Amino acid sequence: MTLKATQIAPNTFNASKDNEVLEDARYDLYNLAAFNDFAQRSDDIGDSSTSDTTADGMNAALETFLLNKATEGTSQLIGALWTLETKASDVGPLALLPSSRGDAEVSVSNNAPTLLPRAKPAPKPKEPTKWELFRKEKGIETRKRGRKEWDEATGEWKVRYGMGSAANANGEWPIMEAVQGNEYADPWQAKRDERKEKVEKNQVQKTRNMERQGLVQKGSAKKLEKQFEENRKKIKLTAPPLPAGLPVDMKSTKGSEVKNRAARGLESTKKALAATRLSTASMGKFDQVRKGEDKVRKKRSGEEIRDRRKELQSANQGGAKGEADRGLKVLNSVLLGSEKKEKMRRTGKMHKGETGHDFDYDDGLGGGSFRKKKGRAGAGKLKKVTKKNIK
Amino acid sequence: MAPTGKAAQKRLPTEKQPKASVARYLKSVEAQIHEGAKSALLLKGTRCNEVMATCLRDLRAMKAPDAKLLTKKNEINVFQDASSIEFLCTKNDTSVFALASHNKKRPNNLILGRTFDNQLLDAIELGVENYKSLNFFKGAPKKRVGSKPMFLFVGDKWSAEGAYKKLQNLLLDWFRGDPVESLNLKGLDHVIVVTEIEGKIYFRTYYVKLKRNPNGGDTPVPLLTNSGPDMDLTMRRTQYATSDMWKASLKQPQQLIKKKTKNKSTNMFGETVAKIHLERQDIGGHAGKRTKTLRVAMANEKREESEALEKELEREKEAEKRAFREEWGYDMEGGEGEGGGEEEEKGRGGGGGKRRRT
Repeated sequence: MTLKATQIAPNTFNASKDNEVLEDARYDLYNLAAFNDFAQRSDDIGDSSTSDTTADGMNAALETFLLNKATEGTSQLIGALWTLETKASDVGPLALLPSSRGDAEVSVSNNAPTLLPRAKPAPKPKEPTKWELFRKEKGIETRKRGRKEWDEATGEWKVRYGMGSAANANGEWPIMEAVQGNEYADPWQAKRDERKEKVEKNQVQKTRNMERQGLVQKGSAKKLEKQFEENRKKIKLTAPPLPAGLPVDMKSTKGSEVKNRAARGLESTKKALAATRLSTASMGKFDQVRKGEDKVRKKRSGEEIRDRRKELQSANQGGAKGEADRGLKVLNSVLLGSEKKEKMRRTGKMHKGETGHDFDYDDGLGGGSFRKKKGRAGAGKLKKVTKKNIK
Repeated sequence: MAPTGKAAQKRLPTEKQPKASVARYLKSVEAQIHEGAKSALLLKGTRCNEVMATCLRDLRAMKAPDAKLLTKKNEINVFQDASSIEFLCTKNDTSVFALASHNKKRPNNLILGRTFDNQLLDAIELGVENYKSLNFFKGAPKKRVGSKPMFLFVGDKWSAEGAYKKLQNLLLDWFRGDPVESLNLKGLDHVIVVTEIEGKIYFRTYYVKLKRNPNGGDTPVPLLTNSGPDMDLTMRRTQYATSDMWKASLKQPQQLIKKKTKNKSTNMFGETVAKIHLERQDIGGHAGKRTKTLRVAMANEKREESEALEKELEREKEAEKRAFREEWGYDMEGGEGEGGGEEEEKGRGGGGGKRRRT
């Protein structure tokens, strides 16, 4: 059963209907659209079909009319589309649609493309980074590298970076060379520092690129650089000049910041000495004192010089309760140590059993910053600050 | 998901970066130079009837896979408060929406709209009558999923400035799918025909089968069959974009604006031909490379010149001598120098005379 063109689209292909005016369409081929700009009159409906004035009949007539117009227009549109140039591809010939802004030559006339809005504003052209400029200049092409690399030393295929990579396997081999400049420096620490420096440099350069692209405030790269410099200086101050394990240099700390713990070698030693002296039966009173050593003093760090008279006065204050409190205080001090230490213990700064000196030896350096609980829980429960509670 | 705000900001490399999955999502939502098909968000209003629900489902079938159909009812009034629809479109990363509802005042209501830059651009409210769903044309062949539609707008009101033109723009934008540069024409399988007869809009979709032209030639002949969805539309409320927003939405990315290369052309052999325009060359003035022959030639030239000059001078001297002899009767001695000396004496005398006076 062959369909004739005249059957499919009578208006278009019926050569006998000479007086039928073909409504030439206007096109927008980029959007595959055709426009029939002729006014349609309702009188034209029901022309060709039988004069059936019922609702269904009218509907049918309308539908037929619409179908005819549709076929007419579609065949014209297809005709226009088939005039387009094609390019070959593996899925067959592809018709090259005219560009969306209509600046290419179109074979059919009077066809301005419909300007349709975007969904999102156009992205601004990115300023190329320093590397991209260099790359363009030198003509370096990017090449995709595989995930794994052959490592000659171990005879395995290893990942290029990260865990298990050849470069990361520093723990497996001993480091034969000492650190440049400082023989006693920790070479693993030096490696870590070197890596850290590289990361920081990369971050600064990234920030500089972002600045150039306008994503970040100007001057943030320099700020970052300065920050890293300061951090490095700080670490230098606190880092021991001698290797870990060896006693810290006996540097005088008179007048310097107390917090500079690393340099408190002399003071710490003195304290340790004082503690050991107390461990004898007579509390070090009859120990032989060497040249340069301090005499055993009753005064311990953190305690004030006792005023006996004042104590006698206050000894009877508060009545029975006062006496009981004082007694409890003494008892607690004996059993647990000073109040300050008690607080540190409570807040978890002195973890039980962390050192042998937790409760007996006070080296004056205070509690450590170790916290067993991590994160928010480590900070401890917030106690409401009241007049009584202000410390 | 849809992290917005903080995660979307550009962070310094030292700050905490978003997770890889989040970063991937943000990249997918970024604006692109070449935009793909606009995703459609289909939702129900405060109240919806079966017809409108079917309508939404059919629209989803038409737009698949670029459509999201939400099941819950939403108390959204687009024309009063656009923020909720904007929010939903942003969250779902859609730029075009259809909101279907039904109430006594506005029966079978369908609001078609689009957004730009997470803000409402256009919204046109349409009343749907005589709806014929895809189900109505059950046995008929339907379009393939993801195929691009052809469009046909019949009627004179579509081209004149006004509500109809804006509706045409919206319908083209809503249904067109992926905007491509090239297309396999054999894949065209349906056409959306919107006819306007005396103000009434008839939206029809036909399945197109391309048949070989019996009169010969490559161009096929289309055979149209009703496939649905079909509806008769009447325009109700509208909200159009402000001219600023409209202009901004039409702006093309700089990267796409093709720079015209003048002067270049391709000849029939496929070679690129262009004309190089040179300035007028000063052939005489520029010094070329100094070769030995040139040096010799230059030296010769110089010598000849100086010889010629000397000859000239000689001739002049002779002429002067002759003139002197003629005038004074005896030969000039020393030649020119004497003559010059004579003049000098005169000058000196005059000068001396002048001095004596003062």
